[in-house]
Amino acid sequence: MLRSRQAGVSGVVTAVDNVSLSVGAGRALAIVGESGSGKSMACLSMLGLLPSSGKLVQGEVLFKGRDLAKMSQSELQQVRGREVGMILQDAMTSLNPLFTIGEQVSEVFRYHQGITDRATLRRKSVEVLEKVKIPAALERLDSYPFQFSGGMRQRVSIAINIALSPDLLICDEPTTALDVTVQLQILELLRELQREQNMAIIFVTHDLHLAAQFCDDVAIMYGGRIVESGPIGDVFERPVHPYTVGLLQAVPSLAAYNRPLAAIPGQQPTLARLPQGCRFEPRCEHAVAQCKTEYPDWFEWDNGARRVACWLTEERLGNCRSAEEQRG
Amino acid sequence: MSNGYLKVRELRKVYDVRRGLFGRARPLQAVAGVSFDVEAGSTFGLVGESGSGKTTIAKMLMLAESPTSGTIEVGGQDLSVLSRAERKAFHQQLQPVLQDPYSSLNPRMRIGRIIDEPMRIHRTLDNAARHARVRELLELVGLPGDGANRYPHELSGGQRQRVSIARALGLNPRCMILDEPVSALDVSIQAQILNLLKELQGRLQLTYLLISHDLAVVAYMSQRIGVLYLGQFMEIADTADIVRNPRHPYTRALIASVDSRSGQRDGRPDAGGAPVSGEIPSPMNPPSGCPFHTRCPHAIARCSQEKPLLRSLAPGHFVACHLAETLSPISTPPLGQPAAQFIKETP
Repeated sequence: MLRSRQAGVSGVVTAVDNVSLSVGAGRALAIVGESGSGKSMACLSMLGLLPSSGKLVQGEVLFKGRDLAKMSQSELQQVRGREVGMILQDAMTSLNPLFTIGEQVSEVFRYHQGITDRATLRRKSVEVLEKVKIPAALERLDSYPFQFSGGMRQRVSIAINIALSPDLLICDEPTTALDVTVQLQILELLRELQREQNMAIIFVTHDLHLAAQFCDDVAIMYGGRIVESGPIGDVFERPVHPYTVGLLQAVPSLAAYNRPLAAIPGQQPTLARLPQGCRFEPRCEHAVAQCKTEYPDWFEWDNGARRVACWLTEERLGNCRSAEEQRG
Repeated sequence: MSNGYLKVRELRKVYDVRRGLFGRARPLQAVAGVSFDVEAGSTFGLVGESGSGKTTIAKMLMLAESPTSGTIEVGGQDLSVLSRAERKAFHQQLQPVLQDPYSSLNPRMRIGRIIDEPMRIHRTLDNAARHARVRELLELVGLPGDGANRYPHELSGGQRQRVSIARALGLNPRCMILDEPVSALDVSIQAQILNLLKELQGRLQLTYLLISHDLAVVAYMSQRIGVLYLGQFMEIADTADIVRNPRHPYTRALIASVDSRSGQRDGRPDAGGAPVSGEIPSPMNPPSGCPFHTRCPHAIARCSQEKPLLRSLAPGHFVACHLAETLSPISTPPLGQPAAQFIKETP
């Protein structure tokens, strides 16, 4: 369970509320949500990287049996970069423009492994850059980030983050800033590295199709809370929460390009003015009185693999089943 | 190609780019000879990645850039020979809606004044009539009437994009250039804006040129699609042909990257949509022959020597690829409709 708060101009807002996630080795979990849904904040709070105005109020972050939430910053520094990697959206801002690629990659080895020998550092840097398929890695060690294309920069940032074979890699919109054909290449690379190193991956994205291509499990976030989670194929084929259903119908897909899009009316609540009950209630066409006053409990099935936070889950699942039976 | 409201012929734009203060100017071919027609009342989608020249084409249509060569005809009028007065009148016919509703609205003007401004400049109506027209436009795009007194920062991204659309509609244009109109918006808001644009098109008989990097958005909105790569068309066809029967390897690659059907969990997209390697070459230094040959999984020697011309494979279906006939047609899986049971069954 994870809950983090962020102090803002309009008072204290709860950016991430009661969020529970788990991801096993070799698995990929997608956190899907729109901007302001708290998906990035959830990841930052796991690693103790919240902005200074933010605070993890409550909850634990268990990573290989240790609680990251209770660790001091210096302990966390040992975990981050070594055991947990984090890749951000725009590699142009996560790389330092004033240092060469070689210097930035070798910093990992210098800092975490205490290696100072220049030849060793260069050799190790080349190895890891080759792992992320940067052509002519040796010649490019002395290049600066601006000399790289967007896709290549993202490869460098992946190289830095997997250099020490972390057990968990958090990718926050890693391909959003890239061209679509390059997106696919980066995903392929991440998938390959994941298989090789048996990493767990948390993949934060607003792109449902991308999540479906890449991940095993999904958690859908809305207004700082998870509204639905489960194996990604099942959630996308049999979505239950009205928000998940709405989202799937609102995104244009090539497979159904001539089907009218059903837009979700209204807009996301701001975190400063969250509804008292279900966050989605003001936009939900199925809402009943209870939705206004009380946040829904989890409804679980398939041994807890599938979870939905909606008061109407049972009814909606019933509808879904009878429809399937009718179709035979 | 048939007659259309918008006719573009052999359009070319070359920029001179200077490296450093005293460097020699080198040509950058942003648009390398494109021709297309947009029929009145229809939507033509231009799809391409960054650097493909799609925005440069839009700028030339909006008279913000002048073509190096080639002609643009809008409603039978050749844009290259317009006088000053004619240029001003032309802007009433063709209006833009741009990507970023945060930077395309003046933060110091109230919404009402923003929408009013084009009408004031073009002196189409008197004060009272303009006032009424602003309210009418707000209603047309689904904004509350009292929205006129607000400032852009008080509105959400989706509402701001509605303001941009209202502003564009003020002069009763016949055509709108939509340059990435939903890329900056959240997914649940995108559908609202796309549907609004479709509804307005039907009601006001508008012609759209839609520019986007997102093939799914373009397919949803357009009757015809042109796929751009390094300033040239790789393929032009009706939407159904592009989606179901793409013939150019680049179109196939684009489809593979946005379509989750083709991305199997084992990492191998299906037959036709082989993933492409590498990235878009610099337009300063375009490849010889076919611009796509450096990344194409099917390329042969001929592709690097001889530039394929856009040719007709079937009526209305144009492809610039030497191998278009020999590539295996991709299997089109049945229509996957996510959440189909809920579309019908829930009350």
